[in-house]
Amino acid sequence: MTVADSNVTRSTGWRRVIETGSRLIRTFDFREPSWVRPLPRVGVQMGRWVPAWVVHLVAGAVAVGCIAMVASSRPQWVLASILVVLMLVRPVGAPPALFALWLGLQVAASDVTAYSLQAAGLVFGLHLVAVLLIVVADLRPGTRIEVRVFAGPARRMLVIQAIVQPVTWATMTLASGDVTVRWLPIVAAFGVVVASWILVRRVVGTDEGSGPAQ
Amino acid sequence: MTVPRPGPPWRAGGVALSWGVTGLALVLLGLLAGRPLVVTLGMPLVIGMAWSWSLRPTGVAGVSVADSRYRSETGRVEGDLQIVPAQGVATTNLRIGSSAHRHVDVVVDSTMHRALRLSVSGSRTGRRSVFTAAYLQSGPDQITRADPDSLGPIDVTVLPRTVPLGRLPLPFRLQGLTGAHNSRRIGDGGEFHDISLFAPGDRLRRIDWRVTARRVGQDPGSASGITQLYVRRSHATADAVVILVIDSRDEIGPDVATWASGRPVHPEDPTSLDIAREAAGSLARTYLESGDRVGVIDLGRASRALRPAGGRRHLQRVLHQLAGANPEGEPARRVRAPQVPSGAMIVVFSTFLDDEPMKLGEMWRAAGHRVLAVDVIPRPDLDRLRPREQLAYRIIELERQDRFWQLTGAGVEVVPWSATEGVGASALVHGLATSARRRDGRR
Repeated sequence: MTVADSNVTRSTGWRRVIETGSRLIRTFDFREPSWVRPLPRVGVQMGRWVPAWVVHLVAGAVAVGCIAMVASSRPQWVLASILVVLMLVRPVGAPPALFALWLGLQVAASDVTAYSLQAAGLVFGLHLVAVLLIVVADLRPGTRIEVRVFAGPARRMLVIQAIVQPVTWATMTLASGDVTVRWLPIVAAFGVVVASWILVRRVVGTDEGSGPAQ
Repeated sequence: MTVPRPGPPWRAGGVALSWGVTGLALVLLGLLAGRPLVVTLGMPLVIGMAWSWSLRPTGVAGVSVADSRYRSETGRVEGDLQIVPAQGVATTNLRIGSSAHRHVDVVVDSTMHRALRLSVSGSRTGRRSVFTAAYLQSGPDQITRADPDSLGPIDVTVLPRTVPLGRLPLPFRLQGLTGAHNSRRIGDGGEFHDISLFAPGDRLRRIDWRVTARRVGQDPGSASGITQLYVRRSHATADAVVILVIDSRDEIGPDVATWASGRPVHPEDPTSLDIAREAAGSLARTYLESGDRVGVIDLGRASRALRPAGGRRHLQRVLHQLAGANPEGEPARRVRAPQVPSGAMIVVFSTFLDDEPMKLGEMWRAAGHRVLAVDVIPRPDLDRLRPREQLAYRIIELERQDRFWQLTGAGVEVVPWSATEGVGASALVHGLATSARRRDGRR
C-alpha cells in the first residue's frame, strides 16, 4: 500500500526546489545593505525659510485662481491645467510664457470690459505667479528659501501694483465710455502715476543704500 | 605680453527676461485687440523687468567660511559662512556640502552682511575636510546672474576626546630620578624601605635615633654606649616612560561590509582610529597628569615619532600627533621594531588585523619592556551582513583571537577599548588595574 506523503518538504523533488530557492536567496540577498543608512545633512543655521516646493504650490494655486476667473468650459480648464503643471515642473522657458499668453487671449476673448474685482485679481495674480516662479526658477523642490528673500520682490511688486491697478481702472473706464466727465479719469490716472513714480524713487533710493558700508 | 582679463561676471538671467518679453507680448496683444485689460496684464511684467534691470549688480559679494573648528559644547564641527554684500546683489544660491554628508541647497538674502552657522557631525576625530560651498549670486528678480563659484573644503583638526582614567599600570623598571612613583632604588623618597647601618654618604637627618638607642647593648661592643648609628632608608621616587604606539595603517568602522569595499564609513560611526585616538589620548592625559613622560610612535609613518616628555603642554603635542595619524597609502614594511627608551612601557593601539603589530609587541616584550595591546576595533554591526560577509568576519575574528592568544603567551597584556560611552574607559581601567595589581603583587 502506498501512503501519500502530505509533507511536501519530505519529498525529494520539493526538497530540491526549496534548497535551490534558498541558495538563490542566499546568493542574491535582497536585504537592505547597511550602507543604505542615510547620511546626515550638513546643518545650516539661517533665518526663517520655506522649501521651494511650497512656493511652487502657492504659485500653482494662484495660477489656478487666475484660470478660474477666465475659463468657462471644460476644454479650457484641461488646457490651462496642463499649462500650469508644465509651468510648475519647468518654470523656465516656454511654459510660463504660454500660460501668460493663454490668459491674455482668454481675457481678450472675454466680455470683461469694466474694471472689477475680477480684472484687478487677474492683474495681481499673473504678476504674483511671475514673481514667485522667478524666485524658484532653477531650484530643486527641497531647496530652502529664506523668507527674507521675498522681501525685495514683494516690495517692488506692491509698488508696481500701486501703479498698474489705477492705470487699469482708468484705461478700462475710458475704454468703456461709461464716464460723464472724460478728462477726470485721465487726470486721476496721471496723478496716480506721478505719485507712484515718486514712491518708486523712494524705494529705489532705499535699495541703493544697501552695501558693505551698512 | 597681455594678460587676459576675466570677462564680466554677470550674465542676463533668462527667467526674468522671458517674463519681461512675455509681458511685452501681452501689451502688444492688448493694443492690437483693443483690450486695455490685456495691456495691463503685461504691464507689471515689463515694469518689473525694467526696474530690476535698473538695480542690476555692479559688484560681486564675497563669500567665505571662517572660524571652522570643533566645538565641544555642541559636539559638532562648526563654521561661519560669511557673505559680504555688494551693490545690487540680492540673493545667493548656495549648495553647502561636506565629506560623507548630504548637501543642502539654500537661497539667502545677500543685501546685508550675513553669517550662517554651518555644522557637521563631530563624532570623528583627526584631520577632516569639511564645508564645501558652491554658490551663485543673483541680482533683483534674477535679472542678472554671476558665474557660479565655489570654495572649500576647509581643513579642520578635531582633537580626540580624553577620558579621565584611574590607576594605570607602570613599567617593570622605573628609570627616572624624580617622579610620583616609588622605584626599587634606595634614595630620597616617600615609602619606607628598611633600617640600615649608617654608611658614608648617608644624611644625618636620616639617622633613626630610637632604633639606635634600642640597639645599645645588643650590638657587640656597645655596652658602654652608642657605637653604631642606624638610618631609615626609603624608596627613591621616579617617573615612568610610556610610549603610545598608534597603528594608523588602517581605519575601519563598525559596519563590517565597508571594511574591504572601499565604501566610506558612516560619519556618525567612530572608526578604529577614532577609538585609538581617544584611548591613547586618555592614557596620555592620565600619565602626564601623574608626572610621567609620554611619547608617541605612529606605525603608519616611520618618521613620525614624538619623543617622550612631560608636562601639560606636552599633552597638547600628543593630542595633535594623534589627530594627525591617518592612513596614507601603503606603509613601508618594518624590518625591526622602532627604538624605544629602555625600561619604557609600550601601549599598542591597533585593530590587529594583520601580524605586524603582534610581531612588534612580541619583539618589545622580548626586549624586556612591559607591553600592553589595546584592541580598538569598533563593536561590529553584524545584523545586516550577508552570509558571505558574516563568514568572512568570523574568519577575520578567529585570526585576531589567534593573535591575541599568541600575544598573551608572549607576556603581552591585552585589553579592549570600546567606543561606547564610558564602557571603553571602564573596561580598560578594569583590565589595566588588574594588570597593575598583578605587577604590584609580583614586586
